[in-house]
Amino acid sequence: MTEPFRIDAGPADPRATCLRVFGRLDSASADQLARRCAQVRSEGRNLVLNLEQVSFVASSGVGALLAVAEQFRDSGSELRLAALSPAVDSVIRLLNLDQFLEIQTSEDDAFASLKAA
Amino acid sequence: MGAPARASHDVATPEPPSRPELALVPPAAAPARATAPPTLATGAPPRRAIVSIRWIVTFTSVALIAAAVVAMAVVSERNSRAALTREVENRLLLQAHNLALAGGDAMLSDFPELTLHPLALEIAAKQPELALVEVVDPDGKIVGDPDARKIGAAFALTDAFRPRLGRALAAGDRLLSDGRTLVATVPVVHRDGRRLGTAYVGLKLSYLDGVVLAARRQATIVLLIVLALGVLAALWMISVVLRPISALRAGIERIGRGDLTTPVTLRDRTELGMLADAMNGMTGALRRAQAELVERERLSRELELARQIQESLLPKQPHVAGAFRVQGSHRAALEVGGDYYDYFALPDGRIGLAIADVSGKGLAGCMVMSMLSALLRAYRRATSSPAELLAALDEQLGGTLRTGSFVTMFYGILDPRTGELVYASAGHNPLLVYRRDGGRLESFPTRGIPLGAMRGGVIRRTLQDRTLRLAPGDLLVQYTDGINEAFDPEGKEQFGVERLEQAITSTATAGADAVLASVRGAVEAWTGDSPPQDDETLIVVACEAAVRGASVPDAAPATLDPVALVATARATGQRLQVVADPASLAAIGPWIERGPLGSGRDRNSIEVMIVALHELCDNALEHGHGNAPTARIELWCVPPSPVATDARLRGGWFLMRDHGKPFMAAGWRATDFNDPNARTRGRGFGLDIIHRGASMVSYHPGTSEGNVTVLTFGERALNPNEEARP
Repeated sequence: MTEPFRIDAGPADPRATCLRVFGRLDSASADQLARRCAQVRSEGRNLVLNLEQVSFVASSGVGALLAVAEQFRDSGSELRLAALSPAVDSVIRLLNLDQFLEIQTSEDDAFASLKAA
Repeated sequence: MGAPARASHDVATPEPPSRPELALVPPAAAPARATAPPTLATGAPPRRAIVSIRWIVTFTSVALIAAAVVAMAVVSERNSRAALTREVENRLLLQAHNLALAGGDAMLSDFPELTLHPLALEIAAKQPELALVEVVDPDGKIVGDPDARKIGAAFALTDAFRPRLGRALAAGDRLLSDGRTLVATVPVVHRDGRRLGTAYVGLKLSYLDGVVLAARRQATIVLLIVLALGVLAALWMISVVLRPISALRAGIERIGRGDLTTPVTLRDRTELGMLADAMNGMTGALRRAQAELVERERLSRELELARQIQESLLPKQPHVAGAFRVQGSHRAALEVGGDYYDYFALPDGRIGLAIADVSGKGLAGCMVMSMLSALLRAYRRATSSPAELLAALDEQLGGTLRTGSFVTMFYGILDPRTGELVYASAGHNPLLVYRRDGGRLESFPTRGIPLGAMRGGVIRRTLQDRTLRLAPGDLLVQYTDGINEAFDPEGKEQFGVERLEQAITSTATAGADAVLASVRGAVEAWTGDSPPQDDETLIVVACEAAVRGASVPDAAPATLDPVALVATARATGQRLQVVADPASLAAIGPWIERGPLGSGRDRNSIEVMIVALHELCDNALEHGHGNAPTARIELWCVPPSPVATDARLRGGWFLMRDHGKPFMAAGWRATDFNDPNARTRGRGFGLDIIHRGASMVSYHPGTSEGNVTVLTFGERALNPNEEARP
């Protein structure tokens, strides 16, 4: 009934890899997302995560985002969360996590916030 | 321990294991041979001034003999003096008669003096003691006298002479005395009857005294001889009598010095012989009693050691893990008993609970208990099945226990994270569990037979692992029969399980400490001053009520009635069944949106409700049911009701109901997101979402309707940005 979870590649950009996330971000999909993000990080690329189409995020999903953000910070790459859906926005605000995450209102803003690689 | 009687040991407040009532041997009864002469000879007795029986008897007998002899002498002297006087009087009269007879013829001659003088002279010469020999003519002139010069002189007795009374005399005879001289007068009569004169014969009375004196001297000599003989006889007799007494005295002194082996040998057929026999009997009894005392002292010293070992095997401190507090109490019987209990952390974080009662007391019971303790230590890590463990103990103990002796034992493993207790019982008392929800006490009897009761592993068929859950506020009590079988001072009625249950129920909400104190107090009040006949052992496991306050925002005061709320939800709410499947969890969102609380709120607060309920169900499925495909969770959404009895519920509420392991809110702490490690970990935020999202979360695990959780979402959830940042 809801959209199945998937991760699509966004537009190619020299500044960052862009991933578009669809569907429910629960414990199973969170692992999937974390692996995909780790892959981007291992390439030394910055990452823009478009969360506009995330219909639901569980604690495990938020945890994965937080963990990924920490990993990027440690490795010196940049992570931008872009276009949060109401579900994601609600949980991040509930836990006051926006201080630990770089959030932009749109994919373009996210790219714009990154210096050219 | 208390005064004699009672020593009790509470793990909460460990006391030094001193047992004054067990002082092994009263000091006065110290072994006689070991410490030389005891009481009898401790300190030289004051040397008393002895008055020997020998001298008492001697003096007494001498005095008696002397008194008897003197009395006899006095009486006999009086008699002999009277007899002597009479004899002297008779002699005087006879002399006087002789003189008168001879004088009768002479007086008729012309010169009577010629005849009478030689006659008088002859008499006086023969009897020099005579003071007077006279013949006087009727004219009063002396005609016959030993002294010729007195012849012709006048003679008369002075007036001082009085007749002696009390004597019958011949006619004309007279006896006169002036106190110094005794005179007999006889008339000189002619054959024809004419009176021719008077014959006088006199005697100094002092002569009489001399004779009496001589007799007295004789009597005195006899007296002295008799006395001397008497003294000798008395001394000899006393020596004979005293000889056995000194033997007895020597015997008593030997006993006093502690020598109980040498008998008093006395061949005596008097009462003293009986006394000696009695003394020998006494020393024999004393010797046996002494040996018995030494033996008893040795035994009680060993028992004291055994008791110390037993005490050392028991836990000293309460054990606290998560919301659980485990505490035990042990009150030892006067005689060392066979109760055992222990609790300990297992490697996986669970808590092992053991309580056992060895049949039989004394050293045997204590040794079995020690063995049990060692075996338990060896096996407790090997298996997580209490029934398995008990069966293994049975196998080991079975060969060692004497026929007829056995051990009842309870063993349980408590998971402090879930409150789940897996347990098995080998013939031990039913487990008592107080449920805060409903305030009642449940009893869990089991079917296992005691350890060592039957050989050949029969026990395996009777043992089984059972499971129960402890919810916050619940309390578990396991005990030994020393508690419920404690007798009142009259020994008529036992304390009983009912009183035990009352003691638990009355204080169950106050925690483990209070319950221990309550039960012990009740048992002690029941038994009064009589010392415990059996070990009284008690273990209490308390699950402290849900943690409230800082760490869990707005946890509800436990005033909600979960069972009633389930009924209300059934009557007025909407239901969603959730199973361990992502699709099922995904249905929570649309169910909320279409439900009675999904309208009239902004998107954000609806998202918060969705994620909070999702987390709640996810937790229950994962931790309560292990994501079992058969697990069923019920969600209820109850619409707002202005007449709800609890103001917090008027805006509508959610209820989750499941039958998995109850969730323990206790011990949860809000995540500190400022900690980079917490962020990197990236998991375990579910409770943060629930507690931040809901305005009230109220957990009611283990109710008759299963685990019930009630949530409300109020204004706070609508404006999460207003929350103060940590």
